[in-house]
Amino acid sequence: MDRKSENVSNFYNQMTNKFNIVGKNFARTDAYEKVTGRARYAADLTFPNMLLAGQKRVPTAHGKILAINTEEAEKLDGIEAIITYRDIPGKNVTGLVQKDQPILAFDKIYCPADVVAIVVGSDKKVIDKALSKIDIVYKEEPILSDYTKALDSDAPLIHPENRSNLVVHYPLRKGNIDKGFRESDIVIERTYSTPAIEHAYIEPECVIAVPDFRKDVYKIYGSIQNPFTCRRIVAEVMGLPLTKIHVIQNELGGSFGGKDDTMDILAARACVSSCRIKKPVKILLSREESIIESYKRHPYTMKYKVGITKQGLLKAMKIDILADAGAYASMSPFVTWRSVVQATGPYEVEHVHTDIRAVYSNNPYTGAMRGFGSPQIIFAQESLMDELADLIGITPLEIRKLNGYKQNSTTASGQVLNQHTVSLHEVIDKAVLESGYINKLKANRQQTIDISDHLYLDNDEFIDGDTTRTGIGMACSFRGCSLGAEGIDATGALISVQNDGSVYLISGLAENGQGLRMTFSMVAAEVLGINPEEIYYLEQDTSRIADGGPTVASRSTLVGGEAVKDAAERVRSRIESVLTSFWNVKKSSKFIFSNGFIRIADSKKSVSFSEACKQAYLNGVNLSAYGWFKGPNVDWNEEVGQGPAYFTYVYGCQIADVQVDVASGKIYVKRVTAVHDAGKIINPLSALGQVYGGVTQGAGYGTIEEVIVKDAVIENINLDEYLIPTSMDIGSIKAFFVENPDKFGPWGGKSLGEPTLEITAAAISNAVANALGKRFYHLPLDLEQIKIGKTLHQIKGGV
Amino acid sequence: MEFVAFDHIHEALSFLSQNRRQSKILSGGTDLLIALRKKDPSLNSVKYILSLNHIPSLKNITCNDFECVIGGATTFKTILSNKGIIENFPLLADAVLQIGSPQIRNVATIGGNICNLAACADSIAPLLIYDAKVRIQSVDSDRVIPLEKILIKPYTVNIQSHEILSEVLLPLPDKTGKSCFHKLGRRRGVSISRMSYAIYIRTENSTLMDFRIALGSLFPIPRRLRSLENEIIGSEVNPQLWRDVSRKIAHQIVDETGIRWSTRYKSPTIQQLLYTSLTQLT
Repeated sequence: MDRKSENVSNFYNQMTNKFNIVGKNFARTDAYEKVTGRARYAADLTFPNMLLAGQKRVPTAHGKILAINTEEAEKLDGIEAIITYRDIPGKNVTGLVQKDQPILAFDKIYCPADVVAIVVGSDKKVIDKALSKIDIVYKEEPILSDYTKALDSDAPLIHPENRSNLVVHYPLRKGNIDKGFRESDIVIERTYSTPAIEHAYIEPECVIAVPDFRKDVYKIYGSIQNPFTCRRIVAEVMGLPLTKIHVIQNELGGSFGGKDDTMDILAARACVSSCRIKKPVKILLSREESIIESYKRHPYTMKYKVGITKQGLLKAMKIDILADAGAYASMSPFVTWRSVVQATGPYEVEHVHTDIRAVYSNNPYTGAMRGFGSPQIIFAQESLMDELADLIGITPLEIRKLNGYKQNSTTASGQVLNQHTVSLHEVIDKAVLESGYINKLKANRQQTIDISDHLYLDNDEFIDGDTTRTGIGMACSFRGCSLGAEGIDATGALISVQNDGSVYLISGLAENGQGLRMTFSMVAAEVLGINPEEIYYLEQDTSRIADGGPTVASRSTLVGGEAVKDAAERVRSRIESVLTSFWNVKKSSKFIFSNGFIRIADSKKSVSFSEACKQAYLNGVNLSAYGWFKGPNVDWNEEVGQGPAYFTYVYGCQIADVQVDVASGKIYVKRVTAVHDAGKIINPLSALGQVYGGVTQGAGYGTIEEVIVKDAVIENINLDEYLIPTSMDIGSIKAFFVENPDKFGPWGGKSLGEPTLEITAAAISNAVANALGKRFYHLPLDLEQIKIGKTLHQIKGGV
Repeated sequence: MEFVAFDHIHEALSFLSQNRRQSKILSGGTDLLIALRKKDPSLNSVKYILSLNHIPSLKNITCNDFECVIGGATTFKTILSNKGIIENFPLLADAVLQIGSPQIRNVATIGGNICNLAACADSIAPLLIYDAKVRIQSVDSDRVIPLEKILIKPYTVNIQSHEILSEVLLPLPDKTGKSCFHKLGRRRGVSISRMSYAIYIRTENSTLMDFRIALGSLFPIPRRLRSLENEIIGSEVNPQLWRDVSRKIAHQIVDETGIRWSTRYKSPTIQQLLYTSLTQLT
């Protein structure tokens, strides 16, 4: 009874292009509440007797803690408790991969974000006063801020117990690199670097821990990206079983991968505090604290040595990448793993020799951010492709067409791409066509320009006439969908159809602002022939649904959508059984579920969905079902970096039209043509939103964004100095979707969130090179980089 | 700290005369609120925040045949929607339109922008070009002086603690000349000036009859370059003149502010930007 009938699966095979819901535009379930200000965020919540917490940090990036004196602060009226590591009932040291990050610092300060004590009280002013009265005695240690020196023999050790600052090293060996270079006609070596950047979600972190009336039970409310990860961390810190911690996710005001570790740690601190005083405790970060405390995108230094034949065939790539993990390992092992898989870009290269290392420093720690180890390497790869094309006298388009992955191509890790449609050429062709790439590329090359960076210009260094130049640039990528060999890739969904036909839905993955609730509602609605707007999507609560892993890696539509579809199909199959006996028809009858009615093909029999559900209820049939999806096995050989890393891939190409004012070095991104094959697009409206957001974020990465770190301390800790693009800073974004089928994902729906961001900066950089006839190797391409070829803040105070 | 607000300027002035040096004037407040949040030490001795936001007479613009008078607490939004300003003072309109965001322009005021006197106060360079005057009132005095005279140093204007900048007076300019305002920021929206300038030029048969130039974010405070102006008025207009002028300005900036972290960028950039604008205007 619980198994899907043959009917259901046949039904979909026959109706590939005949969707009722999928492929139509639906506004997000939370759109109305968010634009009218009715949505409630964690900061809006309050509970009886709730107290506030402030966090004590030490003004150093590296030091040994000798004493934590809280007595003076405790004497203040209005202070309920001061929490230190001594108050932690379970494990203090946490970390998703390496256990290296204390919830509350106890022996060492590893970076300026570290928190030593929590002050709990009802009045923010009193809390601030108490924070200033806590006396931390510490001994400064040498600071390691230049991560490129982290593996030097005289570098200070951040976590001395590891005896090295190396967090992780992934080698990848394919073919024979020396042979590859011997067979090459041209070999070039280039070094690229990229900065740390901030997620800059509009809502700063907030969490509330509420002790329940039941013993040892805590409810955690917050702006939490991954409720299950949060629950695991809090349970470990509290020394309690998972069931005692209920994590309830509030509306998220943006995450972009950024509300994972930080939120888990804040939740643990709030929970420890609420445990001690037996009252609800809220931690709400200011923007400054948010930027100081939260993890960033990894800065990368990337050395590429590439060999190519005169005909333009790539022969060899030797890649050496160093990533700054900052003070804690966090997601570095996963972020850099994605980089090693994708480091050559979507190009067939016979001989590949890649090494990527992540290293500790005292800098802000780095972790997950939309793109996850891909925007950096794509900047390098795609810059290289354009430069190589110039060297051998072919166009950037030609070099990509010559070397780009085709059906049955073999990746750097030896995976043969034969299980899905390899659409790299298709997305490139579409982007070239829609952007007018070829003609613009040639026309722009006619421009010549010399930019003088002399303090005082000679007469012949002044440029007469218009100082703006236009450029066009392309970048493309392939991206492994979901987690790949990173970890277990399974998730569930629960659908519960009531006897009036109304529907509850929840999945093991969480809404992060990407619009997952509507996408999943549409998947369920397609199967059940109902209106997705009438599905009640349940509040995300770890006690309502099984652990479905984290909401990361652009995996929601793919794995979550499959689980939702599975759940809905189980219910559908039960309704079909009920109707088969109710109407007394053949078991092989073809049922059609659409517009709130169920009928049988070529028959007059028809019943409303709600009536059918009532019949099922009256017959004692369970219309609640759990759906599940587990990704197929993937494999990775750590020694040589070989194996089928991901079970399917997506492809994208973006072409940027830019205008560069050579007088000031200012770039304006006039237009981005974005073509993505994310498989079947479930909700085009959300998909467009992903492209607009991803491209804009990618443009920020390319042109203005940089977390400025000096001696491990962040200098731009608010959004007046850390600049992100506004709506005025980017011209038009033209999005196109190529929808190739895939055996994975609901009706072949795959990944889109990250692909939209990862290639934009590279496309812009190539466009700038086209405009100026000069190439840049360091992001962001800010005013100074373009005008004088260097980043000025690094020499602040000097010449 | 206490917040006080009045409906009439006379009430505000008499409050100020009784609480000298203990009061900080709020006009708009887009800078003051940030200073308060940051617990800026300059506010340590402040007992009262005196708001001008509720005094209608300070929030008006009136124009006659000779001049336009802008109340000190007039928001940039109001300035941008005033026909008299847009028609007669295009440089000011251009500059104001690029200040902050719509939200900031709805609140921030011209008097606030002047009295806060940040190096990057975008409304000041155009006001200097138009030879703006300001009216400074206290309980027992009322004076009108050139705006230039009150600009002392960053965050310091020559207005006593019991005085209020009640009006900005703009004489109607000669409209036969050409002008431009240029602002360079790191982004287009909600942007702080990296550098800005306003230029007014009138030529007759390629002789420079009138030339005014004011710079923002390049000196410690926005500045009109009067001696340079006087030096070149009467010159024959040609590209070489503008190359020399642009270079001279760069020299003056570097001579006065020294080689700062940003000079390597700013010096070549301002020369090219000025040269492009000046040649376009003539």
